[in-house]
Amino acid sequence: MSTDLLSFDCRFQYGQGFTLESAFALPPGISVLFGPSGSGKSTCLSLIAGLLRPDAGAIRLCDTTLVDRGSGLWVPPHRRRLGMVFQDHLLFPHQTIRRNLGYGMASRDDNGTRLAQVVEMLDLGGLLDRYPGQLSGGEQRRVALGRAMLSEPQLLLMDEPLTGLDEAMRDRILHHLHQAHERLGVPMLLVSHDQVVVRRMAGHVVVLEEGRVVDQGPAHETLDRATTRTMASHPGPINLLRVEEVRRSGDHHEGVIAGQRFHLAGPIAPDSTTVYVRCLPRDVALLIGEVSRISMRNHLVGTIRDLIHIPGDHRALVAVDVGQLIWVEVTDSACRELGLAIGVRVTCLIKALATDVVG
Amino acid sequence: MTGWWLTPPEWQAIRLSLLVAFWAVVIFLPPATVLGWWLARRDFWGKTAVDTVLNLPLVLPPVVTGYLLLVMLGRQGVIGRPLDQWLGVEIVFTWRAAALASGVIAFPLMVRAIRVAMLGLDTRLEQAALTLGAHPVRVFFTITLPLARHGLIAGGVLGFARSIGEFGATIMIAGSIPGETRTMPLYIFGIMESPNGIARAQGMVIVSILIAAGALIVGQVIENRSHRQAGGPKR
Amino acid sequence: MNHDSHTTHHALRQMLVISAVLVLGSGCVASEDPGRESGEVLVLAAASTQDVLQRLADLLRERGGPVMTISAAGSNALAQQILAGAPGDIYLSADPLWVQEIANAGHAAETVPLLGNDLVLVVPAENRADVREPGDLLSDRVRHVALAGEEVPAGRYAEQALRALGLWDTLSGSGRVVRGQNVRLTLAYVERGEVDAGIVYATDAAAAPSVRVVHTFQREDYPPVVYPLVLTTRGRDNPAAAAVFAFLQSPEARAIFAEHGFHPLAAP
Repeated sequence: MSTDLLSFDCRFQYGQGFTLESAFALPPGISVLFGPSGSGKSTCLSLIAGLLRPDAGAIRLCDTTLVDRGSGLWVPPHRRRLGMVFQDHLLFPHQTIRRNLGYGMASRDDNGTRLAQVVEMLDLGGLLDRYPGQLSGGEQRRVALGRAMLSEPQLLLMDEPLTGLDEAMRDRILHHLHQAHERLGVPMLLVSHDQVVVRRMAGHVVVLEEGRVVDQGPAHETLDRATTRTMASHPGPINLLRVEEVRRSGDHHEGVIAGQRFHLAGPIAPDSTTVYVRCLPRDVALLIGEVSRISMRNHLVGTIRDLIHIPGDHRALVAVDVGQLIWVEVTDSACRELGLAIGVRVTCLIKALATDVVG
Repeated sequence: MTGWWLTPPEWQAIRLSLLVAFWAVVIFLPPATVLGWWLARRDFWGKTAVDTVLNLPLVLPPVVTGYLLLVMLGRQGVIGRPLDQWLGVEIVFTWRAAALASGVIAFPLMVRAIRVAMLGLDTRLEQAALTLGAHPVRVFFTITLPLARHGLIAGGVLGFARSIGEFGATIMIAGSIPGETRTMPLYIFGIMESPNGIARAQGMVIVSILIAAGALIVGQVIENRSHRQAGGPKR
Repeated sequence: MNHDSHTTHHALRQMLVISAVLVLGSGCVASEDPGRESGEVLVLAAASTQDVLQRLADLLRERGGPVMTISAAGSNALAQQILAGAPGDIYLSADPLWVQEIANAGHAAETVPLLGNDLVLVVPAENRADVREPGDLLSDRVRHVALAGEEVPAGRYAEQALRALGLWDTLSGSGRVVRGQNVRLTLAYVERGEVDAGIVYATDAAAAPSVRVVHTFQREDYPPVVYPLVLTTRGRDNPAAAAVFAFLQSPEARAIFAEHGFHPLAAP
């Protein structure tokens, strides 16, 4: 228990409606609360930050009890030393960016070194004397992140830090978050409903559904299980494949997924050796037997781990383990004709052009 | 019309009115701010009662309010007596009484304006400030107040304008003492008692209209300006 | 944010509109003549005469005489109503100056000096400042002395009475003079003990059991307090008004006025 960064065990009811009743523990590092919207993720953050009071239960951060309804203990939000990045930033509109950043500075920063460090890391240099209303959404989010980090939190809470940003900005923020974690060693808890974010960020993930913890554990394994369950009601899984040993090969790049060659399309940053590639399950084809001549560049061989028929939709989702898990969407009839079943060896065919490199 | 030029007693009344209204706002705006915030943010048992009592000066005849103040603060009053006997502080029949009466009458207007502003404020900004480790008092002064400044300005201006016009409660508790408590309305009422008073009062009538309108316009201008500064996005 | 500034804008605009309406409205006076039944007489009475007039009205009604409707207010307010054309048949004023004003404007058909009054020095029941005569007003024990406003007759008379006693300059220079809006408020200050002494009419003092009259000023020291009775030009056309006008001057009415502390003045 003492190795946990945070232990959470609370019940909270909103009016007569939704009840959150969840218990989980987070290890140090980066964790994600994952689940569809309305599953209670943000409520958990508010409870941890002290913006809401649980009806029952307790929350502990390291060795400090933040709230315990049993003993009546309550640490008010301003003494919790938690940084919070809100989904809508909540920058103070009447203050310059400089004052926003400095608002929560926990200790004296006489020569401004810490401020300078964060400003440099988040690339906020040109913004300091402006007001939040003059900034773009991405800039505001970086400022909100910087402001929270400068309050020297014991844990950084972030509510959907990447939602609503375009691809490029998302990559930048993800990059900044990783940097912040590495350089400042701040543990983080993110809330997200986006698998891509979770897979790229998290060491640990807690899956919430309708106010309850349905699963938790290391990110990739847990997510693979979680998608199985939530698929019927949600957009379904997105494949995010880790491609290693990326190198240039003639006019394109290629790398390796679990020992199998993988062709990349599109520009790759010159210094990247590991990239993530995203593709939709419906853009993956399955083949049984040998490939002869085909334009699809990527052939990944694996074993079917799971097969889920989506009720009333004449579709099935097939999870193929090629070293990493790849989800493939096929019709029921194809499934029958190919004789797909758990344990069957198949080859996944993926067009290089159907993949997105996400950094 | 006997002259546009105001006589020394008239100037005295104008100066006194401005002084009284100024202090009425200075003294009553802070509690109005706290109360406006409290009413906007907290739900508690008896809130309706507090609200009702608070708004009484708005609907009671000012003379009644003045009488109640006299009962409380007079030399024989529950508050006035100890003040007078122990501290030697005299309130009734001083300009302080005039400021107090004006302030009490204007208080509900100030609270109302501030309360509306507080209700329109995003409380999550305050929550954000709390999560950054700021003490609630600091949050109030650095986030809540600056963001509610339009309400404070509106409350101050309305309070000032109302104080300038206060008559009923002032005459009850402050009397009509030249140079001490005889503000513009009292002066005007006084000279209207005499047959040629209406003509004599005309200059003062115009001055009071100008001051009241001026206060409202100044408030409007300040508000517009502060609205343009910071706050909203600049184009 | 938008919402709140909208609301304050709205409130400010409303204030402006309201003040404009008030300013404009104060210039006009309702000019309708409320339908009067014959035999009804509207008496505009100085506030201090309200009680006694009501008694006389009751007496008249018992006898089946004309119905007196009494509208009591400050003499100045009533006079201004008459000047503005308000329907009043009879005006009993505490201030001869206003009566003069009405006569000048051609609203007075007939005027008689009806009543006189005394000016008295009153103190709160406990009289902590130990005021026994006008000279005591200058003592250090006295903090406040209440007089009626300098523009109302009671205030003017009191000032002149004190001047005749040689007390006025010192007293007014001492900053202890508080001016009540009218005699009633002046008296209220004394009743509540907010001031140490006050100068009011004898009739008002008699109506306030909790104050003590310590001194009655010499009538020679100030202009005579006169309550003129006016039959307005409007009342002249109302036979019932003429009857009431006569009744108020009758020996019977004079006796009742005297019971209330007024001095009925000799009929001319």
